[in-house]
Amino acid sequence: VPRDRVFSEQTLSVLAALSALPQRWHHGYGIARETGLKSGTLYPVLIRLADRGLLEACWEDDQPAGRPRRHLYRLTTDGLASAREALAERPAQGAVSRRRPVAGRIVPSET
Amino acid sequence: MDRRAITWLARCSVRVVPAERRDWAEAVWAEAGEVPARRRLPWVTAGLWLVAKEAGMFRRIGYWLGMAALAVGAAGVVSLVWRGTSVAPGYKSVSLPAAVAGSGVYIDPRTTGSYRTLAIATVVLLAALPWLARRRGVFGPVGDSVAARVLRVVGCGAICVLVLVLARLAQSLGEDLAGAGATFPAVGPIVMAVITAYLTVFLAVGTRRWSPRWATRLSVEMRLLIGIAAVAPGFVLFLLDPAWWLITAYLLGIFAMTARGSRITPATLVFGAGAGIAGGLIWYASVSTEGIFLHANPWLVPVVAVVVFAAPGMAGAAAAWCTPAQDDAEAVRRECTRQGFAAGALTGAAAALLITISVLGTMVVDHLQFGPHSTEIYLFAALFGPPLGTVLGIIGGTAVADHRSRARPKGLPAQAPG
Repeated sequence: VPRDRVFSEQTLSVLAALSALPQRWHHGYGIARETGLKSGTLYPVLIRLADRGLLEACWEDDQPAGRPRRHLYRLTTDGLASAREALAERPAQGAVSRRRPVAGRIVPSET
Repeated sequence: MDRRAITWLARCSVRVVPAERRDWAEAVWAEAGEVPARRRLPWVTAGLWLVAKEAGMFRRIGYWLGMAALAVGAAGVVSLVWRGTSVAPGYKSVSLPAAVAGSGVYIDPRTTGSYRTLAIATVVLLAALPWLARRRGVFGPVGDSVAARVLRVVGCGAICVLVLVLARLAQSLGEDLAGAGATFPAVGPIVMAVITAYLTVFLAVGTRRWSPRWATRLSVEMRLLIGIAAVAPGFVLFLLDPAWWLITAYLLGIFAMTARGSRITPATLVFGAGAGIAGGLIWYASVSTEGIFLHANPWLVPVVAVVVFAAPGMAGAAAAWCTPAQDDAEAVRRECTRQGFAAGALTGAAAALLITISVLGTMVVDHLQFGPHSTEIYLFAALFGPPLGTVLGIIGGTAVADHRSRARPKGLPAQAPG
């Protein structure tokens, strides 16, 4: 996995939530509850991660009673490696940049 | 918000999202039912925002608003040019404010045909703009940078304003703008040749798609024939009206500079347009007072001249300075010259356009007439502004290229831009 990416704080929180149980499929509202992100922030993050091949998504197989089928998400092998690497280098809590982070944006690192 | 409302919103919104993003929009709505009632509204609102963003709705709304503005502009020009009340056989009155309505300014009906040509050309031009802007090639679609988008919108807006000012001026002052070529018939073809040659060089230097692979396989004669065929519509337009040939050339230049296939960097666009606007404003501020300001402060004359004429050179130098690093000294020199060329051309064009619009606009607002050929003089400024800026910009660019070539040993590996 190339080392030329840094993730926004929101993306890191999503990666943390997904990598905690990497084999399990997660759904959007569950991730939102864990990360405290709103749907307008969470879904763009998920979309960008999927576009970069770090996340796989699918619909629930069976139609559950009383609710619509869920869209489910899981990190890919690349995504898991990226997440672990990024989370290991994550700045300590409280030392977050004052710049307004852009949801889901992956920018080249300064190195 | 109950489940039926959510389902209805979901059905409506998902339809407008592109197929490759539809799953995501459906996912937002699928989750909405599970969100606790007190959090459901923010969830749905944010979901709608996402849908709007992914469907490119803001861009679509902006596009159609722009189209509506163009349509209104076209209708305005047509009505402005066509309007007029007969006050005497063979004459038409002009719509001047009451204060000057009695001053006896009339439009000679012989010029009415020219005004109508002006109106038709405007409508054709405005209709061709969206097609040109969206077509993949030398002139479109617009580049990804903010600078390219802003420059394209502002440039087209400025051209539309110029069209309106020219139409209004033609009507209120009775100048035969459309027949400007008749005033100097001998120089007409020269003007056209200058513009054509300039535009050709500009496209060859500034765009990636100017020489497609198939074109390089053609013989020189065939390429020449294709070139003549491509220029022929321009020649017809020129015979109709030289002012419109100039305006069309400006539009093509703006589109080529801001297209996705352009080699001109966003920094060059910013420096070129910024220097042009600054130079144009300084020039207009100095001259609009009929020289009184400069007459009272003669020491400012050389300062203004140096600032205005140095602007393209400085823009070229700044653009060359910001050029991304290249593999070797020759590539650095080539790229610096290209960016200097473009920045200088843009500076000259922006300044000339600004000066033309502001001076002619002042004439319209103040009901002034500086002389029978005043309009042509400014159209000449618009003609020679970009080539003059280009020369100065290249000088600035090559000066920086020399400096960078000396500072950078040959063969040093390239750095990633930005």
